[in-house]
Amino acid sequence: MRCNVVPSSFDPTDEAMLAFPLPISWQWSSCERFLRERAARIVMTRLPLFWQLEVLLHDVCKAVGAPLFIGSPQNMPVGAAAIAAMGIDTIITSGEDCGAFATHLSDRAIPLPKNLFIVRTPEESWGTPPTLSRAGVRIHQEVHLFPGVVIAEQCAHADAGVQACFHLSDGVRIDTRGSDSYLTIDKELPLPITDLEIPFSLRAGGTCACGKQILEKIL
Amino acid sequence: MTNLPTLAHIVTAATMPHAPSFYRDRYGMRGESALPSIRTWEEWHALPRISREDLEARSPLERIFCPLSSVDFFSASSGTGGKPPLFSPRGVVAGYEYRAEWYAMKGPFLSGIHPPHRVQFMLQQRERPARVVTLDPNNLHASLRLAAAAGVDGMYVPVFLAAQIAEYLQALGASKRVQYVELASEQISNSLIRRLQEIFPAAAIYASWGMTEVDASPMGIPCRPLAVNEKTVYHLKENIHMDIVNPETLAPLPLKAGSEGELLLTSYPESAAFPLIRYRTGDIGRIVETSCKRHSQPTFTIVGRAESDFIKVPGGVLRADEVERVLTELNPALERFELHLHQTDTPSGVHYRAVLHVDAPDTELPALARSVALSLRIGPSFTYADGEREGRFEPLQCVPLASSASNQKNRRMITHPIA
Repeated sequence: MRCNVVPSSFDPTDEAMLAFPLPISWQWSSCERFLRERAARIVMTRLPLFWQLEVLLHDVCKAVGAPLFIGSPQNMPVGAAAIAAMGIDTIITSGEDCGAFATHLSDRAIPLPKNLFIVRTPEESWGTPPTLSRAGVRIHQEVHLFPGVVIAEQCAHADAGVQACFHLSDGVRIDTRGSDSYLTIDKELPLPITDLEIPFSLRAGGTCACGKQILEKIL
Repeated sequence: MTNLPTLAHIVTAATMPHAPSFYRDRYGMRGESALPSIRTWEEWHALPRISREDLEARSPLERIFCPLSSVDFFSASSGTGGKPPLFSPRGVVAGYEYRAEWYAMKGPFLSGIHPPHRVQFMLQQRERPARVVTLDPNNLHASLRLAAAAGVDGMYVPVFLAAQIAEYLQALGASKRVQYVELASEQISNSLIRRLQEIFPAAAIYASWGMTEVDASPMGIPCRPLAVNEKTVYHLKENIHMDIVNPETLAPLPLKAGSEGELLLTSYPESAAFPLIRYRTGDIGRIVETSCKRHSQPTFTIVGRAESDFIKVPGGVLRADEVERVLTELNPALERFELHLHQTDTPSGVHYRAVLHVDAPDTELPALARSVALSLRIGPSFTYADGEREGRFEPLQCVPLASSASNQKNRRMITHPIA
């Protein structure tokens, strides 16, 4: 199978980082769903370029008819200027960047765009930063195993408060054995992910208003 | 070159009542006033030029001549004169097809000039597996490790990063499979060509000439591979018309071998988000041949920049107003200056050295140079002193203005050719 590659780590300084193969046909359908639901007009990405998600995101933007602006997490002034100049209404950002960028905008009296899509790593906190919870701003968060490989998504129906409610993504299974959790992705991948031990426990934490099971992360 | 009826049609389309008012305003059209007449080349040459300042004066959303949903992406280029960056709507996804002449496109491609999805588009159009690795200048090693793992065999990268990229790919054992290296614009030194030839023995090296605000960028596409001691020559891409004018009088110059002047571009691809008509590039070009041996097409080269208040350097822009700000903050009497940027070819790439000629009697010049370097911003959070620390620039020097050798009236920012 001919593939593109994404890093196996979100950290550019991680010496153990490897290239994880993704099929050329791979799609970021959760992102497309969010942009459609929110009728995104102009999208800015602030994800690190080495995550290799620009091409997938452009496919999504093309599908929904929203132009893309590639921002850099290292250059907040240009990102702020872009929002002011073009009325960008949707930001695709990372858990690491979102709070700092929101503060940067707030310090310059630039309103936060109405749609925030936050890509989180499995290791970091999945809570919504209080600085982002504003009237009129819709936040969607999802957790990627590797960039582009979505394992959990914030429920669109639950109240997006500080304690966001996450569900497992379609095609993802978690098996818990003792205190350990193992992840399996039932999708066609060049390098199948089966029974991958994850460095924290995940368990079903009750039923959400939407009928799905709530995912709880236990460190 | 484009024929006159085509150019007239572009002007007509850009000034139609339903189109954004950008060109109608620029041409002074009011209400029902007639469209500019373009029946002769004299009338074409009399049509007002547009400049980067004209673009900066309008919101990018007012420069969209197609539905917003047809805009593919927005590009950004560094702001000049203390202004915000210039954001440009871009509708053209295609534009790299010329590579097919030189490159088999069998392996993944390293995209260092963004956006990378344009490479994906080209590969899909040519029915090749669309495998692209995005270069992240802020995380260079991480992205090059992925490029090495993917097995890239071609790349399009900025000149100022080319040596670093080559050396790191070589260290990763991934340089021998590279067959195609394209460098983006800028002056390319002999030592860089030699270094790339040494590290990429299987590759041919090319250059293209582009600008982020031009929809069909790159506009200048390679006529032949780069070679030591030979000019970098380009062909003009299809759907782009070029005029060449005297940079001081702006009088049109004939398009014949040896003509040298500022290049004006008219870019009109069908899917363009913004039709660029008689755009002052600020680049000085020279017509090299009226018909090259390989393609029987005219070729040109870029010889430098027209008078400008800014100089592009690795990592950002040296701006006259920023130099003025720093000097007058240090001492309000320090108003007169010339900044000369010297470039020296070395085996590790081009070294940059800024020499500030300043009218500062009774001032300790080495101390002034240090203070200026610490405060002089090249980018939003990057100073000349940061560039010194990173080895991009040699230490800034201050010398008395009287010793300036430019003798160029009213020029405050002067770039010297690579020595």
